[in-house]
Amino acid sequence: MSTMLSGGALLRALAPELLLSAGAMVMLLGTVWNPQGQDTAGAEGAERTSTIVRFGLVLCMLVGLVVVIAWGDGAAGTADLRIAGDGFRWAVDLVILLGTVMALVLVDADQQRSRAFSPEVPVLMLLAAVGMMILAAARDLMFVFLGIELMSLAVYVLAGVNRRSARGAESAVKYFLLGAVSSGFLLYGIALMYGAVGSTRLADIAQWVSAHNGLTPLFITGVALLLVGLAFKVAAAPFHLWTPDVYDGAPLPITAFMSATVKTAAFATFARIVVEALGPAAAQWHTALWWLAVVTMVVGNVFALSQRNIVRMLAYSSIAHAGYLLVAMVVGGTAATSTVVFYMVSYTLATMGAFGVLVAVNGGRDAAPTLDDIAGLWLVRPWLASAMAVFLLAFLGMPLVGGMGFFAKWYVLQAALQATVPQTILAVVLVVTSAISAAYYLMVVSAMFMRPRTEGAPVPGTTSLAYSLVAVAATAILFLGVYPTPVSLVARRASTSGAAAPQPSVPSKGGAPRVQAASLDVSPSAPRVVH
Amino acid sequence: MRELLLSLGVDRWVLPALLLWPVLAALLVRLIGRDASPAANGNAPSGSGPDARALTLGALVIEALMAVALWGVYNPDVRGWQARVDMPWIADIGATFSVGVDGLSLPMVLLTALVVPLALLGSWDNVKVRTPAFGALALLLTSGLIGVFVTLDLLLFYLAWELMLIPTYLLVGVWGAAGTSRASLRYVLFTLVGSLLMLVAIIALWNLGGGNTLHLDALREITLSPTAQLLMFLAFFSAFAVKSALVPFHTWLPDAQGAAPTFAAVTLGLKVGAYAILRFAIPLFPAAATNSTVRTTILVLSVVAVVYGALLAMTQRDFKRMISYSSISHLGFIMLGSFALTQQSVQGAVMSIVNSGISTSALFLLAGMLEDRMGTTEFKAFGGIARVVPWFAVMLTLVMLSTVALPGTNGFVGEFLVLVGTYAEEPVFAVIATSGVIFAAAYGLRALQMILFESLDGNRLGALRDLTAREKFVMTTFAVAIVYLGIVPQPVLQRAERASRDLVEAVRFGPNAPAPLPPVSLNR
Repeated sequence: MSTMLSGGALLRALAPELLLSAGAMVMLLGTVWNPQGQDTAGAEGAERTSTIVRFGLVLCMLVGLVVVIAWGDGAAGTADLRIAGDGFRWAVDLVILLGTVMALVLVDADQQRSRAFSPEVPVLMLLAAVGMMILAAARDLMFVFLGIELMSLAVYVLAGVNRRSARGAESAVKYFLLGAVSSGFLLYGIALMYGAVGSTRLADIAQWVSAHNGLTPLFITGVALLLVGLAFKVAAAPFHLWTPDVYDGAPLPITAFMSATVKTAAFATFARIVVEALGPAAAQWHTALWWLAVVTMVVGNVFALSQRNIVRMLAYSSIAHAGYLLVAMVVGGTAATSTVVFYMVSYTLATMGAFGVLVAVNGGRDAAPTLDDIAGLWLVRPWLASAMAVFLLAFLGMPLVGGMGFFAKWYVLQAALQATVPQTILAVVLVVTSAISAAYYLMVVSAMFMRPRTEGAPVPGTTSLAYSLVAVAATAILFLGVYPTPVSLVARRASTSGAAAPQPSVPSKGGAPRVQAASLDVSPSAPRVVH
Repeated sequence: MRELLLSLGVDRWVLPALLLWPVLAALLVRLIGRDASPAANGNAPSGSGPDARALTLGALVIEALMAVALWGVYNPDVRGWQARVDMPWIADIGATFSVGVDGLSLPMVLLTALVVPLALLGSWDNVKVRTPAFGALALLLTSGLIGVFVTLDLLLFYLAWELMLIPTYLLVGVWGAAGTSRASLRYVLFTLVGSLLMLVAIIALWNLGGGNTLHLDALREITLSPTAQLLMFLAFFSAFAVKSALVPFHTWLPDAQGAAPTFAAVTLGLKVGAYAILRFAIPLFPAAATNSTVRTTILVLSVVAVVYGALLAMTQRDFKRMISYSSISHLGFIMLGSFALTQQSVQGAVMSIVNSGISTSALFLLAGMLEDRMGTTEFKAFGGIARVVPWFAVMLTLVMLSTVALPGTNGFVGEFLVLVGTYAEEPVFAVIATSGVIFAAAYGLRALQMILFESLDGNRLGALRDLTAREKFVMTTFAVAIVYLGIVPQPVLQRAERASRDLVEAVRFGPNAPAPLPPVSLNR
């Protein structure tokens, strides 16, 4: 099999990414044309940022169209198995683009009143999105690293984009340092795995793993370091400590972007590596991942309880959600990939909507909104408060009133209980921690609905674009909470192409290699409760 | 009459309509309803349009009429589901929009659909602010309540079950007494833990059934190992026991009901959890439900609930809290009848669910009327008011007698059947539970004495207003129901008879029946 590839094939395989980067470059030129100095009047700068944001929105939708066409055509990725062309990539691309579009709208809304943003912000977000899409497509650890770095570098800058804010600067430095360390772990893990296997392609790793029953220490160390690096990126406990500080310090729209979209991409690559490369070696990482999931769910939910700053609370809640998704990772297989897609659609809608409300409440201040800021919101802005309640209940996974969030949890639980070895304990931990999470989500709801408005608090308001974003997100969540089939069909088709690799050793034909967990006695989750 | 309704095709649309109409109406009330009150926060009252409370009441009356039509088309001589509707819903997990009623659920549907508008009418002035939102939430809650009774698909059931939660949370927290958000949060957390465990059990059951159906009938056919049955039964039971406030999961109920606005207190008092046990927990997991350890534990808890609830009711200083504890005591009877599992005891349990729905609701409405007039429901604020408010006194006495199960009232029929049915299987429990009736008389008469009789403080209570025409109408309706069902309980019993016999037979002879058959006493 040739590992060399013609340039044309590579271009075709990466067409959406290339289109997005090209568009981002053009937008960058637009910002350079008339640079915004420190002294530029706020209104004028806001005007230009707004224009660039709109350009970015159109570009994202265009790229989304390209993705849909590529999916419909059955585009196959590259022949050397380094770039995937499977449903999982396209579905994740769509989720990423959805998140980017919504985050751009939030930037547009926030920058009308905040002086945090410069016209480069939308460009950086699009470049980050390029990195994420590469992550979704990568079937080679080098591409994974490339994608992660492209994404992370842009997001480091975005976290500190507010030059006037000391909190922002602190947040950016923290994020950069810890992110760099985690990239180091990741790269070291990749290097060790390369040392063990002799290739960085996921297909080769899978082949090597199924051929070697007793894995070498080199390989196991590599996998461990890789998992640590990925756990940093998805903010799984105990690698989560940066999350609350960074989310708290960054401007709200950027936080929403980090919390939903960056996490989508990180989980996408996490799922692909777990399913495609490491599936046959489940025994080696299964227990570690099991504990990671449990600790993340517990830590995220318990620490969120004591937060009064809503952004910090949502940061811990995002850690908890990473824990729920790790349950799907433990299960592996097609269940993991389709669960990630469905969950992330729901999570993106809820996160973007919730931050849309927070942007409106915050009114451009350089401080994270607290429970006091949101108290009595229902009295002045009933629909905004109701929408926020829908988003929070979607996080909680409440059926009907929380809409799609319920089915997101349902699919995770379904994956856990349908696994070869039913992960009943994980499922129970998941629901018990979810019940704990009700306490802090409802604390926000009760602040909005049951407390009087603080004296002198301004009436929240935002742009009509952001209002429609909140309305669309809430409506979509409610509708998909009654009829989730459109998204679940997409999620079902989003399987990885593990079996497309022409190796006889890959276990199942026509689907991803399922985690061969049946033979695992090491797992603490082994008790087979349900017969 | 039945022919006329059938010719209109009522049986084909009435159940989906019962479920969906309140949701639609909620949207309508929120959008076009007018807040009659001058807004407290200085904002202008929201827009013009019809009064939101009247709209809500109208919607609930339509709901009640539909329930009456459902009662009309029901044929008590036919077994199985009636007015059943199945529609495809979520194909990839095999969930369907399946609704239907049988003799077990029909009385509950009618009871709920009638009590809810009466509760709104009876507490008309209890809620005066932000009425459009109140009406919308009340309607959503109604949809959830009705949904629990008519859904046959477990996913749909779960949605309806959880739909009750958030509206109740907001009703209690927003319109309840000051500082009640903690009580309502406790309510949500308690019930959420139980119902999420049930969700895990539902998914596990669905998975064992092949992952392509969630219909109750199909899931009943699955053969389960005893361990799996036991764990799933406990998960279901925890959800239902918390919701219905079985001792020792009862602590949230008096707090929530004591703080809630009258309407929410009434809906919290409806025994949906007890119904769900009869409908889901026992038929799905018969071997677990008749497992001697489980069954004895639950029977002990039931008897403890009967006595303990009554004893606590005797010591309460607040009328509303006393009603809560009396409802906890009643729940003990219902559970006793449900798990004694003879035909009579189950029939008695069904009857008791209906009775408790009627008398507890009426008591809460009366308490609400006192609260609206005096701002408190503490016993010591009252005394001797029988002379000032004769209508109120008569109604309270009648409802209280029904609560203490005086022969001739509806309460007697249910508890008598429960006790007789239980005595056949578990004489000891029946005898202990009978003492609960005596305690009930003690707390009921004590409350009557402290509110209505004793000496009257003429300065404070002399000008107490008697029932208005609206309140008289509501309470007379309840009084008629109490007396009618006490003398002629057949309409409910006849419908519940076949369903309860089916239940008992299914548990003892069904595919998942416990292996050694216990002595059968079907015909007692």
